[in-house]
Amino acid sequence: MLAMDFDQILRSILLTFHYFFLVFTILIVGGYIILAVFSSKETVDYLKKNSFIHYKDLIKSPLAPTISIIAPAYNESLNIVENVRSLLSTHYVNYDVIIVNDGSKDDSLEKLIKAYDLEKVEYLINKKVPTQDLREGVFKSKNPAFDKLIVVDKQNGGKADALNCGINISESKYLACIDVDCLLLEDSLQRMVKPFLEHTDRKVIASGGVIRIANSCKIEDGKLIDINFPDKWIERVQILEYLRAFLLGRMAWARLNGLLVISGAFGLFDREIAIEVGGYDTKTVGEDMEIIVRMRAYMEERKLKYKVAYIPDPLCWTEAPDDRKILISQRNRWTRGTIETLKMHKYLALNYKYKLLGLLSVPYWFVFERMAPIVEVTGILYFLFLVCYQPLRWSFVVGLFLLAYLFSLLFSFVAIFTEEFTYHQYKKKGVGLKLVLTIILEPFILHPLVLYAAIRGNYDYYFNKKKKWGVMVRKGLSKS
Amino acid sequence: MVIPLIESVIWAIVVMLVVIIVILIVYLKIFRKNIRIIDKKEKNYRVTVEENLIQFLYSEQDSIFLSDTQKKIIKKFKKGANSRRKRKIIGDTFFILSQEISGNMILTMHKLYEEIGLLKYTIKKLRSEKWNIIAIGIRDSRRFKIEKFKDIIIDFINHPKEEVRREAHLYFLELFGYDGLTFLDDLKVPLSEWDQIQLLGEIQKIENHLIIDVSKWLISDNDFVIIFILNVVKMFNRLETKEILLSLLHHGNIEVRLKAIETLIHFEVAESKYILKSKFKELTLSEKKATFKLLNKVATTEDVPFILSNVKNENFEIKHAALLILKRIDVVAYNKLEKVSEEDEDYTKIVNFLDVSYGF
Repeated sequence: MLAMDFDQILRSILLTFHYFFLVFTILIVGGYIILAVFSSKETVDYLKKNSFIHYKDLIKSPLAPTISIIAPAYNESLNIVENVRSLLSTHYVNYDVIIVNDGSKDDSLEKLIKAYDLEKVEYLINKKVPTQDLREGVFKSKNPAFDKLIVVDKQNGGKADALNCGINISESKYLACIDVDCLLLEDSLQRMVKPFLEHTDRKVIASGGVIRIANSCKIEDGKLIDINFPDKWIERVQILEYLRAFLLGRMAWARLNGLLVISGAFGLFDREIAIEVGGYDTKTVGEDMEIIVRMRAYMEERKLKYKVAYIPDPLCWTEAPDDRKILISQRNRWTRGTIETLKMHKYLALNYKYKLLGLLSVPYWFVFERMAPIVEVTGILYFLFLVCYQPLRWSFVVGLFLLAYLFSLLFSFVAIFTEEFTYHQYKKKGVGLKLVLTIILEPFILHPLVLYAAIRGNYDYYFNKKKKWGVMVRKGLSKS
Repeated sequence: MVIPLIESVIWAIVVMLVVIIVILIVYLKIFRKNIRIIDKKEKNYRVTVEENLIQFLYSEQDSIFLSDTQKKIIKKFKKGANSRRKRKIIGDTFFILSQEISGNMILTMHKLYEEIGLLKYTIKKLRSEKWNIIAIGIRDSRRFKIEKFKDIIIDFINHPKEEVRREAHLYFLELFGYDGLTFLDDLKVPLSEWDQIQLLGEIQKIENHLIIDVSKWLISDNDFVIIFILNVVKMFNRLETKEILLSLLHHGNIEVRLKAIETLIHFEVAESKYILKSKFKELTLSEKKATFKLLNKVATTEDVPFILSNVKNENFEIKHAALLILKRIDVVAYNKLEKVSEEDEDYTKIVNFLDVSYGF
């Protein structure tokens, strides 16, 4: 009798698991299909609209709004001079470049002083957002050719703190927060600022752009000369992953006006709103996502119409990790950033007062970004349990695995076709085959690493509180 | 052995997905190859069009009648114009080249545009159901200065799609100069900052700057028109509108008021400070900051009491502006101020900056 009860209980537990995984899978696949449809609509609309744009008028217009490019730098001595040169060659009229040397222990500041003929200046800083104190102070160039450059040397406080320092220094209407090692295309500011200028019925609070991977690309004097598809698999799979994430995922969320993340590598913000919400949060490693969530919540609370815009043009090129360890460390940080942000803003979840933000964006992010790795690992463990203790119908199991695998390939193909139909950046002969191979192998190369990093991120978040950013070793884009 | 239905469905989907993916792989290969081929063909065709066009234009100068070569070129262009891609290349090349030539040659090119039938396609575009095609039609009319479509294009100035109406607005400005601004009379829709940048860019290109009276638009029912015209007033120093500008300080829309202050700052109109000072407490923070920007240009010793009342304003920028202006216009009053404030750290910081670091 007891044995029968146990058997019944076990069966109902197993059945619950079956249905849970089934529902989760249907939701995630359904979600991806819906996102793919939205992203294609948004992309087509963007391209149609974009064919009537006269960016040249913006460059010479007295109405062009002021923009500050804020680039925090920590121990970036290797490339800092070239990177700053690249930022200074941006094609825009009313802008300045604020380099925040965040307590670097290397000779970044000395190199900048020498290369750009900098001198210390007195600068009245309105500390609207609290930050660490200055170290050496504020520097400007004696050479009028570099009059757009401001270098701030401060005590180390992390990336968010350095960005906040830049926000305090800036007097511009908009802030372009970027990673100093990123390569911006010359017209990137013109394109990024456009959404802020074209809406009259709502305030655009931020705009983000696609981040492209520059590994193996030819770069000279801070300019992208030739786009190459890398040889290393770890770099290739990240290219595919970025295309999927940026061209499908974020584009679709932009269509819904539900975007929660603007990449820390390159984003443009309304300075006034960024200050109103208190700048970047220095306590999280996911400051790029957190500030967007906070800005959105701020606008919703005040019932102000707003938009977080998104530009699919390949404007910002960055160096991706070419080493498993660094990749895992980066993804671990992203996971912790997501957990921290969602935890800090848990009041938003399913809160109808925050409309789409509370009812769709945050729940989606929680279920399909935050929980997905945990569900996946649980699924794997559950499967292993079944293998050990239950007779399995292997033809069914294999069919199911193939189905999941082929669906993942299909989404990658959609991303690649979106890229080919729109920007077609990898023009060279032979890359098509490499792309196909990358699509086929990516689930076996990148996915296990990302899954492992996400689980480690969860572990570190709960059991290793001291863990912060981790180190990203740069080789330098100009050396690619 | 009986296969359960769900398993059959799964395998059926697997087979279907495999077939789809194989098709996609083949299609990707063909598609990438086609892009390369089309790119190459387009490049070659562009060169051919350029060469033919130059040949056509330069031989035109020699004779009143079309030469055999010119007739042949027209025939070639006509043939090319049947293809959408080639038509686009011809149109783009015509436009690029028209930027580099002048006088009779532009007229010849416009005649050629008509002769090869491109005009027919332009009108077709203007009558399209699709907004992006209409916008292309207006752009083509603008590029090739086709005035006869004016009556069709006027219907698009309030089009729901901003790209269409922007092209329509630019068409009127580009073809009719300042007279083209009359579209503002009937404008019911907003003009975004982006629209205004484009329009001002176009106005700057107009050679004759004796512009028409803009006063009527400064009292328009459409606030966006007022803001746009305030930009025009500022850009072309239309100070004769001063009285209207002053009246706009009482406008109901804050954006209009701010733009009016900005324009008055540009002209350094001292009268405006009396108006703004008199209702300073009712102003929004942005207006208060703008008032101090104005005072920075027009303040005199008579403003000292007002400025003194703001040296401890809770806003950092206003406080800074007040102390800065005070030091400039009445250093004695400034020196009488306390140098350190226990309760206001920012005040102390600003005074220290002005006294020690700023180098006055």
